[in-house]
Amino acid sequence: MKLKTKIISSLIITITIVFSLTATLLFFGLKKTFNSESEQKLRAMYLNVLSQKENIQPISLPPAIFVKDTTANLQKPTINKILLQVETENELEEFAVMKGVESINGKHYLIDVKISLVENEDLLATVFIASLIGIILLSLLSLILASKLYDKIMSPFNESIKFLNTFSFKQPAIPSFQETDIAEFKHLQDSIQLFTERILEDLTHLQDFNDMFNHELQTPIAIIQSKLELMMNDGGLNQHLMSLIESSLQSLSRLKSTNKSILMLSRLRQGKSFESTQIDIIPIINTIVSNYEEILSVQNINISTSLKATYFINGNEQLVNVLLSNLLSNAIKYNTFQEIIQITLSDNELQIINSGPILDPMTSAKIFDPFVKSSFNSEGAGLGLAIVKAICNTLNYNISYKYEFEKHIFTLQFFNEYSSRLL
Amino acid sequence: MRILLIEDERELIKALTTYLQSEGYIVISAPTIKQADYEIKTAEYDCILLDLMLPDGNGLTMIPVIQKEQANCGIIVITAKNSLADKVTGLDEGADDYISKPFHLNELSSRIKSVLRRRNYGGKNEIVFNEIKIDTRKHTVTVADLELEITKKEYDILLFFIANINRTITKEQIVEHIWSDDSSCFDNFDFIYTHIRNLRRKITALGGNDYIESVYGIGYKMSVK
Repeated sequence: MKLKTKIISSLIITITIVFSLTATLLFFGLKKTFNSESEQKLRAMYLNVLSQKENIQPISLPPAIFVKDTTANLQKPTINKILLQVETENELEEFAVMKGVESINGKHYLIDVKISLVENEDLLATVFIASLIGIILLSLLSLILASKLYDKIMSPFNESIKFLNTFSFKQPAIPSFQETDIAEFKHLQDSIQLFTERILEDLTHLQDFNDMFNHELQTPIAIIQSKLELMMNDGGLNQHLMSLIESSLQSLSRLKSTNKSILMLSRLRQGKSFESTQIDIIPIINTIVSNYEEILSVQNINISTSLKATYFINGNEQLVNVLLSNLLSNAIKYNTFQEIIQITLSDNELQIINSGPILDPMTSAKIFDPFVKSSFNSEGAGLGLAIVKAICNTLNYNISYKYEFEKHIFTLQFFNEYSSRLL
Repeated sequence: MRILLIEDERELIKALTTYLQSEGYIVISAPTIKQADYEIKTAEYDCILLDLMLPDGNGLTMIPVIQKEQANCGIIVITAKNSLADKVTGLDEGADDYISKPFHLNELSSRIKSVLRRRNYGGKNEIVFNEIKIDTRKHTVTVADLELEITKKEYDILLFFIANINRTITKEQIVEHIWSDDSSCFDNFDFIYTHIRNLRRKITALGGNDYIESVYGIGYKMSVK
């Protein structure tokens, strides 16, 4: 639950408990106070009657005073509460009564004095309700104030969280936070700042490292290649030696290609951002297909395309080229001899479909992982689809694979607000 | 023709120098910017091969100097592979062409000849190889004065061969020359056979000699008979 909810609900519970206790105490406290006051008045009345001494006379002023001579025994006065029906009211009222038998001038007198407690009750009710209202108002005000204050106090914290949520390697930013006088939040801001700076520094180092690593690798490759080519041009070599040189050059070629792929893959995974524009992928697809026309005719493969005249997406041209090229070359590599490869475009998706035997489940599940390749094809490093996936992650496309009706189906979805179809 | 090779890798300098000398060039090398600066200001060159990653700085800084001191000189920038930024900057700064490391020697040879043609031959855009004449501006080929109908790819292949007479050219080199960055799509370069065969047939059909021959299945060679 939210912190605010927790604080407010804890406050409410506490207030309710304290309030209930206070109210109860208040009620009984007040009641006791009023009653003892009434008792005192009652005693005073009794004593007043007693003080008449010789002048005492039987009197009957119901319900307040009742004096009568009596033959009963002396009795110490006691105080009780009773309910009486009073003439002017319809209901029974509560009275406090002090009754005793006293001896005055040698005679016994019954003295009965009463005092009404109704006023007490009214007073109690009024005071109690007033207090209640006061407490409720106070509580409400506190809660509202607490709520508003909370939002203000937590603002730097929320800002920090937002920064963390929106941070992206593609558009890295150094944070600039609002001032806060709360030490904990300031610590949080400082920590985030340091953390961000460190990450960005590491990122730059990693990029430099990758570039330098690549350069260091390319140079010996270039040297080996040059020396082999010089040997090849020597003219004095027989076929056996020439073919040794040629197969060395072929392996070198594969090394070059793998190196290039790894460099691209690591650049993509660093999360660098690539400039995107609106591009029409139809001419790109057509160019790639025509690039492959030799291979397609040698392997007797036909490509059937179902494309619109134009199809614009938001993307980076170089990356999209590599993406589509890798998908198609993959399809060609694994396509069954003489079968058709289909390229279809509909709504938001592009599908490339080739026929072939089913892949084993391990390969199938990890098809977009680097260095994963099918046993049917041992050439190549198995990086083509990994690059495809990395490009999709960079450009916010979605790529998926399934095997259905003996066909390998790769589906590419372009998720972005700029994709549109022009008919 | 004099070539200045601005490159710091010793083994690469040796290999390139051997190769270019066998092509008939005079080759001077400079392994640092400082030394290159000296060479540029004290001698004349027809073409400069400029590696961008030098021990004492980025080779791009040399381009304005070269343009000032050697106005007629062609500049070919050597970049690390996949550095699109380098390629674009290099050409923007005024280089004539770029080549990515690691490159084939024959490819380099072809680029140098191309740059020299553009720079030095002014209005003359013709290459002559016995009965084969190529107009590099119009991109047309004649064999014994008869127009040769060839595709763009075949034209590029022919030009590549002529830039590397008597040298063995592997199939991979041909594919990389024509498809450049896209060449890594291909696992196997045997399909190039069709192009070569068609080219040879077209030339001989017009009465030209068959200069192109296959070399032990590795590649091809165009040689003077």
